[in-house]
Amino acid sequence: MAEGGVPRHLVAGQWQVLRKMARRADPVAVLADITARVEQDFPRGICCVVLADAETGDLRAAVPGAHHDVVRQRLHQLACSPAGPSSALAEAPEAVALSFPGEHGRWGAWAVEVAAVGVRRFWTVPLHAARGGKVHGALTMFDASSDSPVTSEGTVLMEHFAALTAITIDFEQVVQQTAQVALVDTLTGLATRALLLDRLAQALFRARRRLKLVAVMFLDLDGFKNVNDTYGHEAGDAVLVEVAARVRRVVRPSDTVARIGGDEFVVVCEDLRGESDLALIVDRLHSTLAGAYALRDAVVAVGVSIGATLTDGSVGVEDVLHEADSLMYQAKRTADAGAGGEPE
Amino acid sequence: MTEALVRSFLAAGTDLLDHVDRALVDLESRPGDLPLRRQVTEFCGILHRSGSFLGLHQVAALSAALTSLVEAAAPTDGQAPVDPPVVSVLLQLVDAIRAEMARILPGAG
Repeated sequence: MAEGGVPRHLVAGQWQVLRKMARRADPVAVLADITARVEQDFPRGICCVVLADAETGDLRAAVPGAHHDVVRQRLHQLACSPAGPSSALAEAPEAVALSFPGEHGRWGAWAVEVAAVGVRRFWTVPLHAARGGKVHGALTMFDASSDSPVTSEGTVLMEHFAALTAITIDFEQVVQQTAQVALVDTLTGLATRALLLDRLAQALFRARRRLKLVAVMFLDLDGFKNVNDTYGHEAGDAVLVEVAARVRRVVRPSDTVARIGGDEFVVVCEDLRGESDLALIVDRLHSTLAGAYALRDAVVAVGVSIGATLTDGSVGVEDVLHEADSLMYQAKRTADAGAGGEPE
Repeated sequence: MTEALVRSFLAAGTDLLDHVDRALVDLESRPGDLPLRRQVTEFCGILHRSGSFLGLHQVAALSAALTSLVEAAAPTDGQAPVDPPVVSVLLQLVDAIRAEMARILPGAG
């Protein structure tokens, strides 16, 4: 190892791993690449990345070994064992380095098993998450080399690779969260416009294939602006969350409910038999959504205007949405004309 | 218990060598089969790494040689075809690993 810093081959390897991440390589393949790089520095060592379950804390190997790789499989078991030191990293997130044979206190029974498969040196280093003080799991090294007991050089090397492993896992989580945010409305948990367009396109395609009908309903709340103006945005948000819950109760789990604007929702229902099915759903939506909403300090009333259309899938996504939108405005104008007011 | 692990490795290693054997023969007729090339490299890597860990130095050294030769003769980017004479040499190396395994624990494989 070079004096006073990270060896050049590690820096080069680090850039190659980061480049793979940036190119969105399979994260398991990136982690496998990291373990292979660690193993280059431990000629008789086998490296495992173990991840902790967010709820139970149980450990599992992040890179499942091949079926025939019996040695790696055995070491994965030992790395994930609740009797081993990796299981305690969530409470005491410090690197642990052990030599075998030896006295290992609370890890004694586990250490006997580890020594029995020929391991002479062992490291486990926590994978610190970038945020929240969490530990993703551990990078472990089982080394059968009997050249020397555990060294600080080995620990530094493992900590370097553990940092790179943690960055890989952080990056993957951010990518997944970003994708999730783009598809799911964070307030209501409903689909966003992006997910709606995708689901609607699939629904139209299926309708054409199966000769079935798809209903698209455009919903706009009446009186919602008053709630926001009178009781504030927190109250408005509470109404939107309740509206989302009520719509979900009306439709089937397989149907799509999206929030595409402030108080605008779209519902897509597949496999309808005709206008009567559509009328039934629209009636239920009206009766479920119109009426009282209990807030923390008040009870407010909102209504809903619905534009609903049926299609056999022969029209485009934007066309069918535009038609439902137009029908919703007609319904809103009719309702407002009846109430003697202007559309919201 | 180390002996038990060595026995498991030798049994699994014999299966791996059977796969490598067949894959090398298949590569003669399908030189552009990238998944097959990657599988051969991966299996050779398992033999090398596990052999090193268990202190089976001859198996590890021969497997390392096989890995290097396979990577040179059948790179995973699929650029070069695999010539039959090269495959023949690779198969001889597989036989040498097999013989070395049989010598370590007779009957284990």
